[in-house]
Amino acid sequence: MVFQLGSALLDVCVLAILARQDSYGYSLTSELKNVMSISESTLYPVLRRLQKEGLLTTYDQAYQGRNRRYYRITEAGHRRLREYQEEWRSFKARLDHILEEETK
Amino acid sequence: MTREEYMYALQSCLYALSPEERAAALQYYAEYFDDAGPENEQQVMADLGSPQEVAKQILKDFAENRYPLPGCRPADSRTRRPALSGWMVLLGILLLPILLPLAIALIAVVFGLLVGILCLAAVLVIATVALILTGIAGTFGGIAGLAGWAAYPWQRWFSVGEAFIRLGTGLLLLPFCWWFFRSALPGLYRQIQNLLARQKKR
Repeated sequence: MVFQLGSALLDVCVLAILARQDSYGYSLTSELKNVMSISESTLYPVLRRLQKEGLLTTYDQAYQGRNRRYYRITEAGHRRLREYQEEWRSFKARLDHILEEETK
Repeated sequence: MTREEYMYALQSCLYALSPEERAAALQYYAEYFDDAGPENEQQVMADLGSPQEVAKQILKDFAENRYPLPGCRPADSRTRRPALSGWMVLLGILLLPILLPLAIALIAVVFGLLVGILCLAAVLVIATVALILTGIAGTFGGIAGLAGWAAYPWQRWFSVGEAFIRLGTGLLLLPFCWWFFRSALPGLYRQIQNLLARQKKR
């Protein structure tokens, strides 16, 4: 895993994962680790920030007699995700272009 | 480190956050431990890093996003001196019927105390001087009166003895006067100065 996710890409990944399905801290961390080597302690600040920006909400659900806090993407979160996806496509295109230039 | 120790350390490191924020962060990590399962407790702590590191991540995010970071520890509030706001003036005016008599009473008490101390000093001096002087005079007079000791012998000896008592008491009072004026009064004066100085510092 060469590339480290910057803050913005981390946001995108979180929003993308939640766009498919609501999730909770531990599960989100596991999924993100499949993409890149994040530190387990970086996720909470991101989730808190996205929640404060209104892109996520939380709700609690009982699980095996204890509480589990779930994160759900909001409408604003969906909009931000679409913006990020656009940005990513254009960025990826430019990156591919440069990388292919190099290997000529 | 156990999970409880970890969480306790994390809680202490997050003192700068508001209670709500701190509770939210602690809940997140408590659930993280729960979801990982007790068998993975040590692994989780290794993955997360030290409680200090975790707290630093959280606080850093707060600082960068300029969320209002509440004042840290209660000690901070002491450095801020409350300005004389309009409310305080209004409150002062409303409470005047109570405050004024109280203030007068307080001044009266302090004045009374000062007068009391003054009188005490005066009494001490007067008593000492009087006792010594009349003691001396009485001694001489008593001894002189002993000349006619045949008539009323006991009374004349009694006069001498009683004059001695006066003289003795007066002499005993002397060191007490010395202590009073050299140590007690200046000491009291210094204590009052200290008290006033500490009031001003607040």
